[in-house]
Amino acid sequence: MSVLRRNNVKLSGQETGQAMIFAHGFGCDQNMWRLITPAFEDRYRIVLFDHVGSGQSDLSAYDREKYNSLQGYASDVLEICQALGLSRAIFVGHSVSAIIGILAAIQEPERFDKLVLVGPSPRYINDEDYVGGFSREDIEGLLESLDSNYLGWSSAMAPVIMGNPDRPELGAELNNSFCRTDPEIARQFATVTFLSDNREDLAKVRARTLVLQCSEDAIAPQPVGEYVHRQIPDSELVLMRATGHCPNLSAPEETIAAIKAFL
Amino acid sequence: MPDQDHTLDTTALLEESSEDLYENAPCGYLSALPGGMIVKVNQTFLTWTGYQREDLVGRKRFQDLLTVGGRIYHETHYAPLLQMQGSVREIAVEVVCADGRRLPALINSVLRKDAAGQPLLSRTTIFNATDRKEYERELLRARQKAEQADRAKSAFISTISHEIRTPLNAIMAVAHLLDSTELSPAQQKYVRILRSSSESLLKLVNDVLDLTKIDSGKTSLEERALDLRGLVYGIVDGLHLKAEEKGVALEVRIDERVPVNLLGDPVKIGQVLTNLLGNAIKFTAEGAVVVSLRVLELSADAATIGFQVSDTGIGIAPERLPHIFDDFTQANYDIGMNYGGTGLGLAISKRLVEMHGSQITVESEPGRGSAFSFDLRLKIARAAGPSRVS
Repeated sequence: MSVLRRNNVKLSGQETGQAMIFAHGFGCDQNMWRLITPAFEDRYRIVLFDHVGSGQSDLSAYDREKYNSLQGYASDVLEICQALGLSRAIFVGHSVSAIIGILAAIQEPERFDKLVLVGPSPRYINDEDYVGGFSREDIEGLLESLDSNYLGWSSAMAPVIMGNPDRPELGAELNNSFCRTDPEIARQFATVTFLSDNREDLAKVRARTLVLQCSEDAIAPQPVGEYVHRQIPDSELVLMRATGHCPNLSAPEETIAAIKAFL
Repeated sequence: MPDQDHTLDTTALLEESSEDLYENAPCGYLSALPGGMIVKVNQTFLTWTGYQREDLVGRKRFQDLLTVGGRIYHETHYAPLLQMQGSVREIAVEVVCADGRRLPALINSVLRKDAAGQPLLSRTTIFNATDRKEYERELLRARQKAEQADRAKSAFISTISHEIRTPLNAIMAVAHLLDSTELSPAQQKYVRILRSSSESLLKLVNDVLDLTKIDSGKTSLEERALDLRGLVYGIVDGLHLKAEEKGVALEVRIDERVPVNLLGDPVKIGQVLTNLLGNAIKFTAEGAVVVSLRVLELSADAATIGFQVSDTGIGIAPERLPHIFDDFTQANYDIGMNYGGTGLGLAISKRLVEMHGSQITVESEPGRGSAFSFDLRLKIARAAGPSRVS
């Protein structure tokens, strides 16, 4: 099975340009970057992919043991880099993929020139002085709501897209619904994501790093973004006006501007 | 003019009723700004949740009304999905009511956009899923309970069977020793009964253990060199004496195209054939029992073999046919009395064939005989090695 097929890798932009790898977070797929990537296509080689178990990835490649830690996802990122022969790339990771990118960059630093972390959180559960934003019971509540959302996830998989007048070239792809996932896989991905603790890894990052922190982010609150910025040696923190957890969808212009200023 | 008055009346009436329809619909309605701030909500939702309109409108975001877990789900899946596809259907959430009670709900949302495609408003329809949730929980509980009971039963049977086997082996060994001593003709008869009864009992216990092992997933198929001709003739040789005693002919017909270098599980396939042949001989008083192997498909790396065991025996009544593969089932009560057997052989055979991804079928006519068939797709070993174990 080819890595590119397994992770549904999609390439666009300048073939000879510096690569920008965009990684989606839990609960979604590569479509969540569709308002961002066009702004970078004129200069960069755009690499989009779906994590195994999400979107249009090859579900048969899902291995419960491998994906029982974020490291499994990080090795997939490295395998994609290897398959495409990427080095000194810019990694843009949303939510849990920010941490996945950090793990990949620690393992093979030469592959990554810069990291852009959108709403990162190295640990979601509060721990003594550390504020992650959630208690363990909260996370158990999430897992329970995932269990009860078996039907919700299923109907999210049904094709309900009406088409997209702004980007007709995506028409064919849009015939399928976004954020498709298998409920069992979603539950394990959520468990792995929300029970992870990667605080120790932050200080090991050598690449120049941008931390994008939204206001009123219920998933990664402001103290978490500040913590990430403090721990990563060569990092900048940008506090965005955008609210919520997905500025790449709710405030694409502001997100693009912040990334461009950093690059 | 009377006509105009009449039109006005109707319009006013319609407006009034659509407002009423909105407020008192059998589902909750809620409109929110793109960030989630609630701007409009209907009476049904307020009644269900116990909030006052002024508690919510302009004060709360929709996600503030969810449990923490639901809020994470909202932020990571629901909100991006709504932004991207313009609508979201049938998401299950729990709304936290004014008094802290949780209301299970199913929500559907639609995003209204302006001419430029910017999101203006989301409109969410909320269905009360309290009853449905309760049914789901009950079903889940019932299923867990049933599965647990089934596991406990299997474990119990397995333990008991093992426990029976130990003293049974001792009985059989002692009977064997007893048989080699000086015995009167009457005593010899008693020992024969003792030995054959304990052998039947051991067969039953072994069948039960086999069945529980298959059911608990502890049985797996091996893939090794499989010589089907040798296997079939070996089984037939073993049963020959029994067939001869009854005066039943035993025939083997093997398609010459059956490859010699197949891969499969000789023990499991042998078990199925032994059982089918044993039954066929047991239930046939005169005529013939035929085992035939035909090649149905042949390619470079695999062959599909059709196995059939047919007899000219007593046959099975049509109304009993659907049940003969059930556990502990024999065609009727008299069968057990007249022919013995545990009623587990076919149940085990059925499962073993199913483990191969196939099915065992039966055709039968009372008084004329029965034919049991199954097809197996088996790999062909590469010429290089005599055997390969995967």
